Amino acid sequence: MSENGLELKNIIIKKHEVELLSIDAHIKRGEILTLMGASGSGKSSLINAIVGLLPKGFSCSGDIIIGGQNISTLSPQQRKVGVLFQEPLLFPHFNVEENIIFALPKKITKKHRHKKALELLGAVNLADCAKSDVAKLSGGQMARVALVRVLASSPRVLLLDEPFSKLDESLRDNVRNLVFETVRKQNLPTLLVTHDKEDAKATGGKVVKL
Amino acid sequence: MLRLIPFLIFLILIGPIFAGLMHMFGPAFSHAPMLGIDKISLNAFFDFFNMPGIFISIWLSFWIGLVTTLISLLLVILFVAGFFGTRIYDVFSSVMRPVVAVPHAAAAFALAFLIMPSGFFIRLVSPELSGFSRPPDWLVTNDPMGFALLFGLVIKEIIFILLVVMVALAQVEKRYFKVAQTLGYGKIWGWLVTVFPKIYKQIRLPILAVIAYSTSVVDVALILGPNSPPTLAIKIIRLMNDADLSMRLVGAAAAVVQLMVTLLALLTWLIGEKIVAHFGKKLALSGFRLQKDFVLKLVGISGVGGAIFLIFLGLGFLAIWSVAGYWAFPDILPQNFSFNNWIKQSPQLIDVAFRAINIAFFASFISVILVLFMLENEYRRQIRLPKFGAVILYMPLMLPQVSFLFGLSILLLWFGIDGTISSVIFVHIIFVLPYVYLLLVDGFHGIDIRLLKVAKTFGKSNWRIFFSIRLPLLLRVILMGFALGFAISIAQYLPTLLIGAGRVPTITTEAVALASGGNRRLIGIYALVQSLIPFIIFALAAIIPALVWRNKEALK
Repeated sequence: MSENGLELKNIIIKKHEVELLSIDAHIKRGEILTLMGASGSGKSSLINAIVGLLPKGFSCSGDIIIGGQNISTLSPQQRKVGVLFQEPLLFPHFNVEENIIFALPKKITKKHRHKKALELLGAVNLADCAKSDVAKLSGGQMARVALVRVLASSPRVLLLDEPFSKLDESLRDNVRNLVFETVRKQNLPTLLVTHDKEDAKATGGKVVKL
Repeated sequence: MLRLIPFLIFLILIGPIFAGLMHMFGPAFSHAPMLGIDKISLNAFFDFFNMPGIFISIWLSFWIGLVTTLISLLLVILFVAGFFGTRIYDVFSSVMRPVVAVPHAAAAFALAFLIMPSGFFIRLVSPELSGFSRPPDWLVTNDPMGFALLFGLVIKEIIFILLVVMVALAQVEKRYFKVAQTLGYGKIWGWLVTVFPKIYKQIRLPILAVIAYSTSVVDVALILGPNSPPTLAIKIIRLMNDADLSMRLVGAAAAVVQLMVTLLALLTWLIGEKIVAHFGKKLALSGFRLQKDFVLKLVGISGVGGAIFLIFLGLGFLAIWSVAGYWAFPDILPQNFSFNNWIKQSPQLIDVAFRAINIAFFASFISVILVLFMLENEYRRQIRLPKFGAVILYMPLMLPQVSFLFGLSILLLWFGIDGTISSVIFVHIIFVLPYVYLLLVDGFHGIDIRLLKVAKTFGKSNWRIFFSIRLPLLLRVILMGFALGFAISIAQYLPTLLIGAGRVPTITTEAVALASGGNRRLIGIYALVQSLIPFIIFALAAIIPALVWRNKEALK
């Protein structure tokens, strides 16, 4: 990937032809840009637009550029954009390890997939839970597995769609710090949408208010 | 009292099946005191297996049942996975609803009128492209391999499976699908790996019902299926109607074999499920992402769109035949139109149509009431239908009708209550009730419990809450359940014929009887009326809530 990070050029999102949000932004590698706004301000729509999954009735104009490549016309599966959603959304029919293996790119051979998954889980102290049923994990463990899973897919950009909003107060700080540290370590351009000032403060980065 | 309802329902469902099977197993093993034969033996089975072409009949029933289900399910999956969340999906889900109401026999006639050598498709290209000035001498329908039957079953089962998938989708977390896409998975494969396993758990019993139905179908096989040898179910009908009474024993043995064939098909499917799940999971975890799935999407939309289109087109062609005057081949349209056939048929048509409506109304109404009481019992006792309960509930749909209805008809004859409308209604309930339950259960339990709790805090009784809160809020789903039950009842051929003992003719028994005659104008009239009746009920089920709740935004 080039040094360009994520560029949002003249992005305008409309809902039924009514403008919801317009933004110009450049997020460098390892940088976290926070987008703050009330419900209905178009934060999640921007995430959907970057992922390529805008719902019916919504439209997006402008260019979304990752590493110098305009991805606006690519299908969602070709964009390599990782998302952490409000809920962990772990696949309930897969165990913890299988959730990670599912996300690993095809280029990692069958022989190495299991090893790689364990290695990634180990980095967040969850190697012991590899064979566990995801439904039996605690909220914090689920959040960590979701983070590992999204990173396992080798995304070029990370989008955080209020991923801490449903966590208990006691867990929120830990998970938040883990996510931000990991993002910086992996040098990923990251967009955080939130309505929580604490989240914005914790990033230590730029904040755009909608 | 409410606690007894589940037991009553299970008795209604299991009692006749058990009694019917017993009265089929007896004669199959040469225990038939009524015929003066009472020496247990396997002779009827030997006679049956010595009949010419019998193994072909068995094979036809087996493979057509399995392949119908496989093709229908695959096409529906490809369509839903490829187009879920798009405008096309919404359009298709609206357009397919009227087709749900079309009985199997009418859909089979509609297809036959399109594909037969003198049908619409050949006319469309004749004589210019095909060179045919007369219908070609091709065996398209009733072909010995059973492809026309397979085709006819697939176009109807696609619609049914699409309906059950749509109902199941409403209960499933769809954001997993979104996650899969952000992880680089193609739409179809991502949906298959993340959403489908959940969906399949919910549609499994209806899928097994499709297998049971397709391995033992009678009405569609009479219209489109092979004749010599026919499918096993048709062979049984012929044996049971043989003038030689000893053939009833062979027919009973054949019915036992039909039961085994259906059970074997179900077992094959269950084994197939395990194999697909095993290798599917391996593939899913291998990193295979199938990002380019355009061809699969095309297959899915062609299959589902084609099924809907063919049924509509065929029904249109049936409608034209019903008012056709002179219509020579290869003209696309008749030279003149006439309502003479409608006028001539109207006394008998009104008679059989009203009888069918009468039966369907009571069968569906009673089923809806029983299901609502059963669900209310589940709510009040904070229980859900256990797995074995679901198996019992769907058992009538998972066993071949032909295997127990003959036995049941003999039992009713014994009691002197065969050939009455009430006995036909009773037997229709066996087949209607499971579908009504399937449609009502999620809506009933999906209601916002807090509304009921609020009513309770006002000191209202359980029954008051049931009638004044629960039922009004469920009006739409109750009417849809009623309409579905009504359509199922209208479409019942074998139960009406056998339990009615030929003395309770309905629009369906008459329409299917016309198949052998080949009078296309009459077939057009009867098949059209057979489709229109449930369609009108479905339309009313959609219109009534819209009118009642026209001023209530949340309930529209």
